[in-house]
Amino acid sequence: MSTATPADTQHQVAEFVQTFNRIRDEVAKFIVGQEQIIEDVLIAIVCGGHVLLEGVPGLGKTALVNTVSRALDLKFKRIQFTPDLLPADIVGTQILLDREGRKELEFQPGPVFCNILLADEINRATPKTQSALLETMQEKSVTVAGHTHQLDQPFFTLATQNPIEQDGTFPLPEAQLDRFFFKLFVELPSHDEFSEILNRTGGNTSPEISPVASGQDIVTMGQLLRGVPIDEQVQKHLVKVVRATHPDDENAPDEVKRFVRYGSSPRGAQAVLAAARANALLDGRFHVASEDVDRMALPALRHRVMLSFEGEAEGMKTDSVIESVVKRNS
Amino acid sequence: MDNSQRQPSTDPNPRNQVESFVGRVSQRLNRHRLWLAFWWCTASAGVVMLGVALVYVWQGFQVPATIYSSVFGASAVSAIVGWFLSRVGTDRSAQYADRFFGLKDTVRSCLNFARQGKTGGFYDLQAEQAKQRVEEEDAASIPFKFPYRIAGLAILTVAIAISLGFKGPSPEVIALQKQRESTLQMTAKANQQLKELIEELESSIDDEQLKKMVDPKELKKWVDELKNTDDHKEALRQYARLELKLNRASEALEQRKDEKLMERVAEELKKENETKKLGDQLKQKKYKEASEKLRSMKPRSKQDVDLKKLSERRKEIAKLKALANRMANAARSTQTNKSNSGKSGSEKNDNAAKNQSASANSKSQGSKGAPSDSSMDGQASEGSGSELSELLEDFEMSTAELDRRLKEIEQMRQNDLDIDPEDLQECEICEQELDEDLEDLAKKWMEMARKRSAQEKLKMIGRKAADAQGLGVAIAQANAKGGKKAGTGSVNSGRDEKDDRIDNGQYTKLKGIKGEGPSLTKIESADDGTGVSSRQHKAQQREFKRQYESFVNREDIPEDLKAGVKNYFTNIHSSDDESTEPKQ
Repeated sequence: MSTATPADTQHQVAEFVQTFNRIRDEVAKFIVGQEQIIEDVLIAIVCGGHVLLEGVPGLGKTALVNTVSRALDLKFKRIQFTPDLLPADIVGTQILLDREGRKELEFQPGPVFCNILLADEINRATPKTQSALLETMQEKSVTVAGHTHQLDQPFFTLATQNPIEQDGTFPLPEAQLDRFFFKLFVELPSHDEFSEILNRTGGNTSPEISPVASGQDIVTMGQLLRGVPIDEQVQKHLVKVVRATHPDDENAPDEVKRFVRYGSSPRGAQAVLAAARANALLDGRFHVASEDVDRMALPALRHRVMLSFEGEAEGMKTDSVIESVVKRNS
Repeated sequence: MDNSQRQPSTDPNPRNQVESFVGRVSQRLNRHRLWLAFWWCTASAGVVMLGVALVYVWQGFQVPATIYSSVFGASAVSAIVGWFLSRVGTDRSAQYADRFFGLKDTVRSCLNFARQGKTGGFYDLQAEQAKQRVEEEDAASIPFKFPYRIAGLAILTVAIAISLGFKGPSPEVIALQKQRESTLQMTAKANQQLKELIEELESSIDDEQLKKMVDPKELKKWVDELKNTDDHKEALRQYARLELKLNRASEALEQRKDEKLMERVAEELKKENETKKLGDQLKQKKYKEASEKLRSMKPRSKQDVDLKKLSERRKEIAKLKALANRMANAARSTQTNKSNSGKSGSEKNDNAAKNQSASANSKSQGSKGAPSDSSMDGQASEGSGSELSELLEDFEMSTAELDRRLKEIEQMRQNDLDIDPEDLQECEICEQELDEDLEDLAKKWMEMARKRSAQEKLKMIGRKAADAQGLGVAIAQANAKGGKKAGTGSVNSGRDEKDDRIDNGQYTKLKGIKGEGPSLTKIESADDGTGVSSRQHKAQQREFKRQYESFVNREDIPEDLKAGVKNYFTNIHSSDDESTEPKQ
């Protein structure tokens, strides 16, 4: 039995929706179109997750992250990933300082010590450097020279990568991919959106983005989300969908059985559940529905499903595999 | 639409309203399912009825009304059972409502949260929201897609099936039904008559020995096995089976050889006036009367040394001796004929010897001259004749012995000699033996009388079974005459033209089972011939004569050679004639 009264909860939910909409509207001042991407990024943020944005250059990925960071009253840092980037360049390092004649090693925090980290073109860095983000993304802490340093809360990593340039890139390892809450594909804007982009960016001035939510607001929103109830049957549906991404599962469709090597981990189910809760509140409901699960399965699971060699050779996309899974288990 | 269902409820618990809404959805869905079940089952029943009706009509029968009612009943039951099993419960109704009204699991979640007792915060808000959502919806708006095709099929098939039900049976079927009714009545009547016959038979048999031979209980069992059937073939079969059993039982009581022997004895006895009456009785096979007559001829006078009484006694014994002598002679002549009947006769003698040993065994097993029990086990026994011959010879010997003893005593008395008591004692023993032999013969005749009576009774029942068979065949042929009706003939005038639909037994191919049933070529005992067959000998003579004549008529053969051949054949014929003359 919940201790909160319905009135309190209703008030909190209203606050949640208002804050979310405020942020979205603020971001939308600069970003033309991409409503779904914006909403998904914000959902990931309120859920405390990291986002991997994939798209060809020039679609506004970095601009989107920049805008979001500006809309939130949070500390923002950006790292441009290159092949010569070192882990210490990300997490920080110890430097020797001369203090009143005494030589001391002092930890110099890297750019990761912020609230919003933009990891631009993350796949350009070497695996060694990429793996420097593993601890920060999962434990939200940094360990240097045996000392663990906690990051500020909230902490989000918004990474971007270019899917077409393969030379000089290092695909992200599965362990790191699994740490991303969502993987979002940034699509080419429509004709009207193109025009509007030109209108907004072609002049001498650009829209002024001001912070509309604090870090505490984001944390509170995340806490509220955890209380959104989910029916037992809906939860069974969620588990069924996630399990069906594995080729050995009895509910797996033929596409999964033929083209998938590994399915999603339980972390994927956690991501779907959290995102579905946020989606339910944004939809004006106080419970999670199967529709929420189906809607959030795609961004939360697409990077957690590994295609087999046959799947790669056939040109299969994980999106179509997950769609078939959702369709099969609806 | 029911407006009362749309009005906001005053119930403070929103979950009750959600449940009420789900109940209305469930009710509506179940009503739709009932309709669907009804039309599907009606269509199924219609198809089944149409199929059955077509089969009946195709075979010429009228469709029984019970089929319609039973198919309708079965379809109604299956519709109710099908509907009951496919009824939509609360959970499925909630799921349906969520999907149909686009409520996104609102109703289902609300019901499940309520069932789990979860309240406060989000749960109360969710319940309230669910209530508001269901208030906006109307369960009556759930559409019912009427199954036009299934309903059309159901109406069409049922209508055709019912219309076919009004079609009457074909003339062939009417005839068949009439035949079945007649057969049923015939079998019932015949079975009843047979039962009555058996009961009469059982009550009429007083003699225990005869009862043992006929065994009415076994007969009753056979008759009880008969069924009242409308299948005329089965009826014929069961009466044929009964007749076969009766024939087998009757064969077990056969005593032809004994009867033949007694006919000879009768012929012999009829030659003398004193024994003519007994001879007539034996001739007419009145063995019971003959047995009583024989017993009446038992000597009455007792052992006495008085000369006068001795003389009277000797006369009585002499009569008896003459009787025994004649009977024994007849028996001996029969035996002689058997021994003279050539090669086949020797085989018969072997059988006779076997029978004799068998009879000797039976004689040694039972009391002397006791009648052997004939069971109804179907084993044929025609009577050996040798046992009877032995009895007759024993009878003759005992009369001769007694006569000789009496004669000796009489001579001793006439010569006034003392009679040795041992002689008297021996004479008395001979007298007892004579009594025993006479009694044995009388018993044998009584047994023959019983067997004859038993056979007659079995044949009487067999005739009844045969009558029933004949009646069955007659019914089959009378009700189905076969052939074509007037005006339906063809140019084919062959007699083999037939209508397969009419089964009156005319074209029935009888197929027997090898080894089953009585043989029609059974060899029965016949009079043994006394002469020698001369057919082959005469044929040889004719051949010789033809060769001889053709040879003599030939001109290319010298006369002296012809004369030589002539003499040769003449000598042969003369030697044959000499050899065929009976040796003195």
